Amino acid sequence: MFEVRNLSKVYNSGVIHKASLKAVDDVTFSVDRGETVGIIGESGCGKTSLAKMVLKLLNSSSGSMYLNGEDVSSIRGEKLKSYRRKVQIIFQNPESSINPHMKIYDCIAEVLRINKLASRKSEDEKALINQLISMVGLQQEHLNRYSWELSGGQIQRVALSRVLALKPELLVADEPTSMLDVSVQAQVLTLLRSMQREQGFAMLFISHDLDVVRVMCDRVVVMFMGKIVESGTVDQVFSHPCHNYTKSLLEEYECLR
Amino acid sequence: MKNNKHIIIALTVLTAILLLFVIISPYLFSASYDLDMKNALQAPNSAHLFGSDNLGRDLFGRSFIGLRLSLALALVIQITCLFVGAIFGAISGYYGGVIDKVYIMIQDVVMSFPSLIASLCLIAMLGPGIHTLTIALSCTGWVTYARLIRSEVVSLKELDYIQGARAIGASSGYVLFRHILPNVLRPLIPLFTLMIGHTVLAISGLGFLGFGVQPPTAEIGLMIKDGLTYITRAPWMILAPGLLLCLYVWLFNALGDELQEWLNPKKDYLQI
Amino acid sequence: MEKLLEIKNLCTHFDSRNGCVNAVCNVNMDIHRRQIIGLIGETGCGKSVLGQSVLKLLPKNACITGKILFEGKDILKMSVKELRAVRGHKIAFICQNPAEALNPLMKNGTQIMESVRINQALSKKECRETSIDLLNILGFSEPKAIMHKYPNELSGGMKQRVLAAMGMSGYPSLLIADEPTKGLDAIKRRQVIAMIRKFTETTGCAVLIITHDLKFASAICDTIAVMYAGEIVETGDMETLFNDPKHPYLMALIKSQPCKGLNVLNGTVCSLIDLPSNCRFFDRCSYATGVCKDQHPDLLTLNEAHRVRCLKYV
Repeated sequence: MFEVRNLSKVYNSGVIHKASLKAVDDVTFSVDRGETVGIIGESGCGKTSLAKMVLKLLNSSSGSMYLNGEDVSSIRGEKLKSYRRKVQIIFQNPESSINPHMKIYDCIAEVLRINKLASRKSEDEKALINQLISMVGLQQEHLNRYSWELSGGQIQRVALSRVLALKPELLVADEPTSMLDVSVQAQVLTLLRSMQREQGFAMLFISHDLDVVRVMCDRVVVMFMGKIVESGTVDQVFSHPCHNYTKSLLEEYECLR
Repeated sequence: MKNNKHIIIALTVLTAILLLFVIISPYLFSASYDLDMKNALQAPNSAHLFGSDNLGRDLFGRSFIGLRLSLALALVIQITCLFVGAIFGAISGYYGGVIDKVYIMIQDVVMSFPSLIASLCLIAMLGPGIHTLTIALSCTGWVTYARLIRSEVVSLKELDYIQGARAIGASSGYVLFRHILPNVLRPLIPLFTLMIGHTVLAISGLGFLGFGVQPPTAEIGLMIKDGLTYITRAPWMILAPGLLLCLYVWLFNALGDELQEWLNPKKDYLQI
Repeated sequence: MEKLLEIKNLCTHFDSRNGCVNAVCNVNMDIHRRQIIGLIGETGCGKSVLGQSVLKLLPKNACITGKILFEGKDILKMSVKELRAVRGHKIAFICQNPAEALNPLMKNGTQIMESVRINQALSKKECRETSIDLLNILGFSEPKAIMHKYPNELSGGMKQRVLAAMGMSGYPSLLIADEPTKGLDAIKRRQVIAMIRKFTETTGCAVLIITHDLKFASAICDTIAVMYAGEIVETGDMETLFNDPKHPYLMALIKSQPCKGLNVLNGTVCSLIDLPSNCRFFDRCSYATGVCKDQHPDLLTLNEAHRVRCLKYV
């Protein structure tokens, strides 16, 4: 369903002494409908740059992307807007993922208004929002609050409700629970899994926590210094790692069991 | 936190009262327009609280009328500067690239001139008067806002919720006006209050030099200039306008400072 | 083992706009020399506040009552001079966000030497040697190169270790580390574990680790104390607590880990402003009985080192 071929991102800096940093280097992978693919690697390996390129929030330096067989590498205008509805993201840091000056009601309504799913302050809008928050386990009282009045877990639920409003085909989850406590993490991950089962979207799950990846993902891709060094199903990679880096990652993981 | 709120309320009430005085001054002090040569250059007494000037006009009332003009002009100038600065700063900060580079060049050129000198030159070219005064001070003042707004926009645009807004399909204009600018403008409110005081001083300064408002319009700077001529005979002529100017600039500065502290509080750590 | 720090009936509350926030209630804790004790709990349970209360590093609206005896003297009654001698020198505190705590305009070496000089009266040459020693202990392979670099040239994990070097420059007898692995990946977490282990082995200091990361705590701590809503609900040594947890909260926390089944613990912590008079874990507890609705449990001693605050064991 979604495919990435030879995608690269190079950051250039400097005028006289030019320095370039290859954040993402010739990455190729695919995601099937309804499947969860995990991307693991330590901080700084290019996972977030890759996520932003998939969402077209960052321009790639080379390579191509395909959604349902169609080349989406350089689309604009209406096609870009329709792509945006199909591919969505959940961010890592709850504190900065929602505008702190907007009430939660407006945050969710914004998604509906921009995509013309409901008109401003209409009954339709209220009904849709109520439906969305009940799906993610929030209550009416949360709608009137601001993001700084909610806990990390609750903010991630709001972020999820915004995303679900658009019924995406692919959800990119960029370390959605790394800033959350272990008990809240369980709540959010269980919610993600049940939403995925209900709506049938595919997920690109980025994480550095191997426990979480083992539980959430079907297939996994290992990144190191911008390159993919290993990929396969979770069982394959976790029980029989081939690349040295994967082996060392799994060693850390086994140590702390 | 609590102390600060009381001070802000007190200062706001004081400013509001005095502003009210200033706004209704032409009607309240209508008598001070009248020339009264018999009572010229009188020392402060019961009829004239701060004395009378060389044409017999009441200094107390006239100072308020003069300040009214300065404040109105200052408000117009600052609003124009904020508007122009916001547009330049937001667009160059958000889009970056060539637009940003061009903007930085313009900003550097404008900032390299000391603002008072630049205003003087502009007024000299265009001729003195209220309109040219407004244009000159606006042309030099917008950079203050633009610079701050641009740097705020540059740091805000990488935040997750801005990226998130783009991800749900929002256009750049929507992101700029709905998400970025409100967050940027909030911390500018104290600066705005401070700059009004600053501009009142600038207008008075230019008036004193003869480059601003022209006589016979009442204006603090002009009054102080006139007062200088009579300083040996009637030193109270500069007292009323000078004191009132000081009071207002201090009020706006203090209000700006307290608002700054209230909106962007620094946590007071360490109990000892 | 001799007692280094004795916390008796510590209560910390904050005066806020919405009322009095009781962050820490009646906490009793002892830390012995060379002991590595972990303080576990969710965000908002008061563990960070407890750590900061030990050194009185709290905002003006905080009020601390009780006793904190360090080497026999009550910290809460110390004068400014005495407290300054303790802070950084005898008790060091490593805060949560290392990235923001380093001065970006000063070289790393300058910053470390500055903190060494404050804590020990040494010549410049000796300061430099001490700094290089500290960086060696913390696992840097090229300490001299790191001394000459600026903070922005280092990765997040390295900044954490430079900050740790500054914290440890006084060779303290007690180190308080507040969430040292927040947001760090597995490899960096291991580096932090190695760093703390090496430091305690070399200097013999005690460590109080404040964290919500159960795996990290189980990898490094000897003793664990679990906090919930401002109270200590279970204490004991690590093996006992993780293999045979007694308090329902700890049991639920262990089961909610992905490797143990991802069993969800529903609900949220009670408000710290309107604290209930009964057991604070009552509405989320799956073992709750009628008694739990009315009574507030005290800390019971199950055996020598294991204590739990639950009416199930009364």
